Amino acid sequence: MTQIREIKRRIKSIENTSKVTHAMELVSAAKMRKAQEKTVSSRPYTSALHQMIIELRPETHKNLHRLLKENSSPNQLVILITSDRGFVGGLNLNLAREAIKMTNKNTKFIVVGKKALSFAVKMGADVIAGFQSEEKPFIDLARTIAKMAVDAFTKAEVSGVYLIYSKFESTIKQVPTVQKLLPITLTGAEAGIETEEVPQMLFEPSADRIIERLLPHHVLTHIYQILLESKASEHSARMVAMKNATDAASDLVDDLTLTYNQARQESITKELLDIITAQAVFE
Amino acid sequence: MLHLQIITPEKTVFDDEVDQVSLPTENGQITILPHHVALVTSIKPGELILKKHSKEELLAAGFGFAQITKDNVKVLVDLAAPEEELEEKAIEEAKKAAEVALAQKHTLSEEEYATAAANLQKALAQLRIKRRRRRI
Repeated sequence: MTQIREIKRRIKSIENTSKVTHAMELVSAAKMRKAQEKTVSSRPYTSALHQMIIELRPETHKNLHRLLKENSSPNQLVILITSDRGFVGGLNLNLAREAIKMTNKNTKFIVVGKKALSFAVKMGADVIAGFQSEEKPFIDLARTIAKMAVDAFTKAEVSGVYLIYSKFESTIKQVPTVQKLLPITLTGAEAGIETEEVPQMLFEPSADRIIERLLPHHVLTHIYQILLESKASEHSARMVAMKNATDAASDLVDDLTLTYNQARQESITKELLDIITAQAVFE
Repeated sequence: MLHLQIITPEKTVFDDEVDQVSLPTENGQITILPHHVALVTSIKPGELILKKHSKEELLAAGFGFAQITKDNVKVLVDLAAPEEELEEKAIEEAKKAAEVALAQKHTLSEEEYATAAANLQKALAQLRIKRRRRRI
């Protein structure tokens, strides 16, 4: 009897847990849809801006802008972006792994998200600023981070600024990504534009002024975009993790129900056996 | 024909052929016709007018950049709202909020001040569009 009661108790508790995970799944799904939409719809702007900078390459390289100039500081700045809360599967773990690869004693950190902060503290890393990812609107957060990064870079305190975040690809796929933010590099496949004939361009009011506005804006937009990407990744990962948890719970309940029925049948059979034996004795 | 793209961080507002387009640039309003010389310019809050088959469309623009190459015009702005989408009430509120923020000048950091000033400019540009049209 005690075994039967025990199984029943476990079924009940698992059912309760699955109710919670199911609710979280639904909430995440709603948030995910919103975050994904935002991320995807702001991508054209970010990439168009990037494209524009690439096309202005001949102009930006004439006299090197301060955000393009490399410096010889031994330090590097890593901006690590994770979620505030857990239940997101391996998302934050993968990011932490990337961060460890990047880290040496000259690495400074700006962390966004509680998980990133506790990771950095555990690592004993040099954290110059920590933010929670939901304390203020993304655009303000991006502005603050951009200013810190640009300041540190132009004062030659760091020679490179890197971003570590999970790029949102689809609901079931988020890729931990390391990207170089500063100095702004326009190399690799993008450099192919160099071989093309670059048409003469007019600048109004002046090339310097445009570039002076364009490059910092690019940095800001870039950070804003990856904050959106991270959010979309977080909610997607949580949705999937919670869905898996709910499925696993219902499998477990099925299993346990089977065991429960077996145990119950067993005890009934035993009782019957007892009754029949007793009757046989009286006859 | 010109191919005009207007892109904001929220969405692609416009992506189609037009006959001509007027942009509010830092140096004043300029009108782009087909075969314009390659040009990069910065946009300030004001009105963006596009013409197609002698039909005019009016948009409120925020801060941003425009790149003109051959017959392509790419406008990247932080705000581009068609006239009919502008809501006077919301804009009034934005304007007031910006003014309140600016009034506390000494407590603001440099960036916060710049942001508030930019918001105020954008709100004013939108209001101008809304009100001017009503009078006609």
